[in-house]
Amino acid sequence: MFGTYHPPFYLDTEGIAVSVSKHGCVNYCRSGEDQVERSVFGKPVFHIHPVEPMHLPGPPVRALYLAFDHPQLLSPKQQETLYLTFPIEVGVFLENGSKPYLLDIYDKVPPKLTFYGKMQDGFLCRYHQSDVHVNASKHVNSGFGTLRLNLVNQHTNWVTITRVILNSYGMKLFFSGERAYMAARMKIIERDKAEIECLAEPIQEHCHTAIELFPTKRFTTQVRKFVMEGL
Amino acid sequence: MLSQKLFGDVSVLQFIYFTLVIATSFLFSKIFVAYLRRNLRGRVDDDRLQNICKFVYYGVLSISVLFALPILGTKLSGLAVAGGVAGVVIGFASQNIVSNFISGLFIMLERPIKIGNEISIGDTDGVVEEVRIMSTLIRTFGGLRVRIPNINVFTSTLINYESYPIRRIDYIIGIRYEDDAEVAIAALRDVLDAHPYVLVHPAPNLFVSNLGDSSVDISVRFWVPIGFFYDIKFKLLNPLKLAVEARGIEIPFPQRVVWHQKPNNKEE
Repeated sequence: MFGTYHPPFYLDTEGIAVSVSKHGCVNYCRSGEDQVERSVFGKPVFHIHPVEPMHLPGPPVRALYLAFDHPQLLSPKQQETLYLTFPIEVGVFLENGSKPYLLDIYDKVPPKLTFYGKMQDGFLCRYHQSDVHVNASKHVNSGFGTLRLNLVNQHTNWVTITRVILNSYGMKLFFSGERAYMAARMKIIERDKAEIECLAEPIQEHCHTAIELFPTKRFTTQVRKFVMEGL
Repeated sequence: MLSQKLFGDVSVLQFIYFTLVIATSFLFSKIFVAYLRRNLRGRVDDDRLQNICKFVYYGVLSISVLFALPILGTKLSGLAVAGGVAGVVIGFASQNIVSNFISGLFIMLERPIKIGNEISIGDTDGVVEEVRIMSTLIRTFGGLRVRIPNINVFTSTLINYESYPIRRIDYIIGIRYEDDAEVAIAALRDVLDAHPYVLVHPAPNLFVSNLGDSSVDISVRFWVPIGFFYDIKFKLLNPLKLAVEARGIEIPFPQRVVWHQKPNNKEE
């Protein structure tokens, strides 16, 4: 489903229909609860990519909060790789020799928000409760992507991890067919503190890099690493 | 002709020179403020940017006037003495103005409110439109513009509804005594869980808070992003009502049980 399309085309699973009128106008229509209809002039190419799942229900939030379905315990100095799920948001982009332009964005699963941090300086996050697997599951439900999380316990004590928070800046998504992927590293640096970084590496072969939506906005600074307190 | 006296000892040349200096500084301050505004927009809050621009604008003008006055033969030391005497007189005459001015400075430094914040000062509720040096302009929710002297802003109890990114909504929903409160709470919780803006953390809090005259009262407390507070507060109550009704639970009217006792016989 993800990929590049030349009009006219029709994606049944997404409810997307793109037609070309006899005057050369491209009509984009997405059916569903939040129906969208746009007329596009020019000869654009359509890119349908997974985007950072933090734009809906809007306005965009700063981070993705993945709560583990059950706590994970890590022994001192241990490294482990876990596979989680994350909600997919789909971006429909137009391109005609210029930077991709976001035409439409929609959700595959209903969004839910949460708050992270102290009242004074905390921020809103997109919330998702994820199953935790030690192997990449091939049976991830439609609407969810796969996150490979490398856990590194640099601390000298056992630690219990119940969640991971991924910063929107520097989030790298990859896709292959209908699947979306992401990789991150979580270093536990103190008993109650971890450093999380999204990695720009596909977790399997034949993946394509998704268009990043956050850098296209006018954010002046990019913070790739995020320090999370309270594991 | 240029050396001709215009008034007192001031010649036409001196006056032209003075005017040129003031006009140049006026032009310079305008350009400099425009430059600051263009470069700082997006990096600094709007209200802070406005204060910086005002400070720079009036600062440049004041300094240039002080530098230009000697051109007209005015001695600044004389101004200081005159200013001291005038200051005492004006100070007594304009206590309110000075207190408003000082309060304005403190409000700008302390920044308890920002432009666009929803606030409540005394009996006035509204959105901050502008924080001036002497007064603060509020647009009430009813569309009125209220000018509040800064001394009132500074000394009154001020509630800023937008200091924090999230805010709590409280409802009280009453059910009949014969209904199961646990079932009602589960129905209410389902509605909250399905709503995207009802936050997971801090977690919603639902509990029986009161055994009233006519109903068992359930308190429903949950947190939402500040930008959606009113929208959700006004829209979510009806879905909550419908959810409990869908479980066969009714929200009772106020009621009173009245017993009529008949005497057994007339003699009694």
